[in-house]
Amino acid sequence: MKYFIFAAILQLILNSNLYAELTIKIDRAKVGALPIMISFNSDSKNFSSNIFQEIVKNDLYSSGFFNVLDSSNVKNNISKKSTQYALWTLAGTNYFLIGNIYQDNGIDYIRFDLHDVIKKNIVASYKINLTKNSNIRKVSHTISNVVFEKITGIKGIFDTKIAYISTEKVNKRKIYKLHVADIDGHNSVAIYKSSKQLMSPTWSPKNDKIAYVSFENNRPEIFVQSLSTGDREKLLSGKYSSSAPAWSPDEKYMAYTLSVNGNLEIFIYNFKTNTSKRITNSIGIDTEAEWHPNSKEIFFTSDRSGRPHIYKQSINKNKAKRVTFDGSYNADANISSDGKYLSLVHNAGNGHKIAIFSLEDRYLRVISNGRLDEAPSFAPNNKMILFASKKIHKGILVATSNDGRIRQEIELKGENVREPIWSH
Amino acid sequence: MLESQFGHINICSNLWRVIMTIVRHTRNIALFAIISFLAGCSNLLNQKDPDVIVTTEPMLTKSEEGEVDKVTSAESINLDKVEGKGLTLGNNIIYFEYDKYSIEKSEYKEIIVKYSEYMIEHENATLRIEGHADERGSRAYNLALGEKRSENIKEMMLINGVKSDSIEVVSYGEENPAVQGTNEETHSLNRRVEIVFINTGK
Repeated sequence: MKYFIFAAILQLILNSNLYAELTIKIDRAKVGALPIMISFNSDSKNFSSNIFQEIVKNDLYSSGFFNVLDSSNVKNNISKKSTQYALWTLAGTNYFLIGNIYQDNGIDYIRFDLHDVIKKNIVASYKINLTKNSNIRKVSHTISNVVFEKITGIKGIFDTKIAYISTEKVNKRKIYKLHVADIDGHNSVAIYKSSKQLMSPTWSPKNDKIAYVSFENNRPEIFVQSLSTGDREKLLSGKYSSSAPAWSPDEKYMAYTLSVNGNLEIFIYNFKTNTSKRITNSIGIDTEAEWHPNSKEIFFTSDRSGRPHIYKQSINKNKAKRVTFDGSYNADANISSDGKYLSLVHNAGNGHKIAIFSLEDRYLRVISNGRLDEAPSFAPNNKMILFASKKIHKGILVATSNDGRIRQEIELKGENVREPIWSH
Repeated sequence: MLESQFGHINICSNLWRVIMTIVRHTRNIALFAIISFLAGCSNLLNQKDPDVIVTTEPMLTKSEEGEVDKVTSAESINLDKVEGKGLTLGNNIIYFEYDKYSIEKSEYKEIIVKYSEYMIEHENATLRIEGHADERGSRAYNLALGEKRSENIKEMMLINGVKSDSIEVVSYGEENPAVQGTNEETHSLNRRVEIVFINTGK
């Protein structure tokens, strides 16, 4: 009997690991996607070209900017040193990416050439040294980044990461996990698991640490965890209910929310002096601090007007300025890395949706169509937004282009996913 | 009122003892028994927090009650162990409007007065005020809403003369809904504060 139970528990653990892969469904407008052909081959016995080719294909397709065409009918006709632009034009492609793995003096390289079929020239040509220790996924994502940036002029984000929280029921108990994964869903690692609630993950400016809220001591408390060592530390000693952590871009401070005399106020923790300074003082709720890239001002959600709206305040002054006026609810602001836009949770009476607010012209644009959308965050290149949504009561993640044209749904089998945040 | 609720606590405590007895006698099925107990109990009791195995709701039929009592009659029953978990002074839940934390209705103010009076009478009693929000909107903001709702009730109790250190406040945000569902009815049942005894002070 005992062994049967052990086996059952083991089975559960194994299953949950197997199921930890994210599945991504891409839904996008067909128009406007650039046709590209991709063909990799290998002359080295140490590396197969297939995995590189598949990762690059998947990256470019899932970006929504590209339509990856089948090159099997033309690739056999390509000799290594000559290009056949006429043939490729006939096949209907605008770009052709050729990759070749070869050996030179016993050292492996992958070389890739990006051809502009219409202009009939090579727009990018690079080689990367491959060793036994090479991270093939990372090398492939780097190639995708170069191709993407050369063609679109936008910085590629294929090698960036996301963090998110998942929940699953094991023996009727809810298990919370904090995950870090590649943006294509691979290499998902649960860096912390708990039977108590986890929430509000946020990346350190160098992407080497994650701060989050854990209820392991039966109250919300902020923890900082190193990704390389796994070491974790409570931000504040003592029995405080702290929440909504936000690292300053210069890494000197952590803004957070603390309850004082029954009101929720924003504090700033100084890592150098290990002291906290209170910066807001209003009756009601001030929370969800978000730093401006200048590390001198913060945006936050406050209900001082009677409804939750976004406010802005210098960390050295006691006066806040109201930023949003549209709708009845604006919360959880996340700023673009150029400091020009806020993504936020917005409600104008027809559900909580994701909106982008321009700080320059004060224009608010709704970009999602759910009713329970939340937790938006900008991609490092500001061209995509990642947020949490619900699909038939299941928590899913959605990545959308900032015009809403391309939409990718990311689901975790058997688990609810929520509170995604893109690395810097 | 209080007595009948202690009666139910009694039963759960008895049930636990039965299981511990079985565990002692038949080690091989120990794990299985505990798992079934927890699973069964959480089902029966419809508890949100699996740590809490006591409720104010009746959980066994009359005939089952009798059986349980028989098996455990040889052992003494220690009521202190459950420390008032699950004990309420009648209604212990206060509901809130969407995105609000003010307490308007007189029936809710009465609940707070009743608890305040109890706390003043029982010096050693301690309370936990648990705040909740519905699922809509930002999670961190909902955590703040739940906290503000709880803090407001604590504030009213302090004004009534309850000692500050006898009240603990915690918000779970939108994480522990009372009911599942995404309509106004379920949302309104989830925007709530539950007043729970940590220690009844008796």
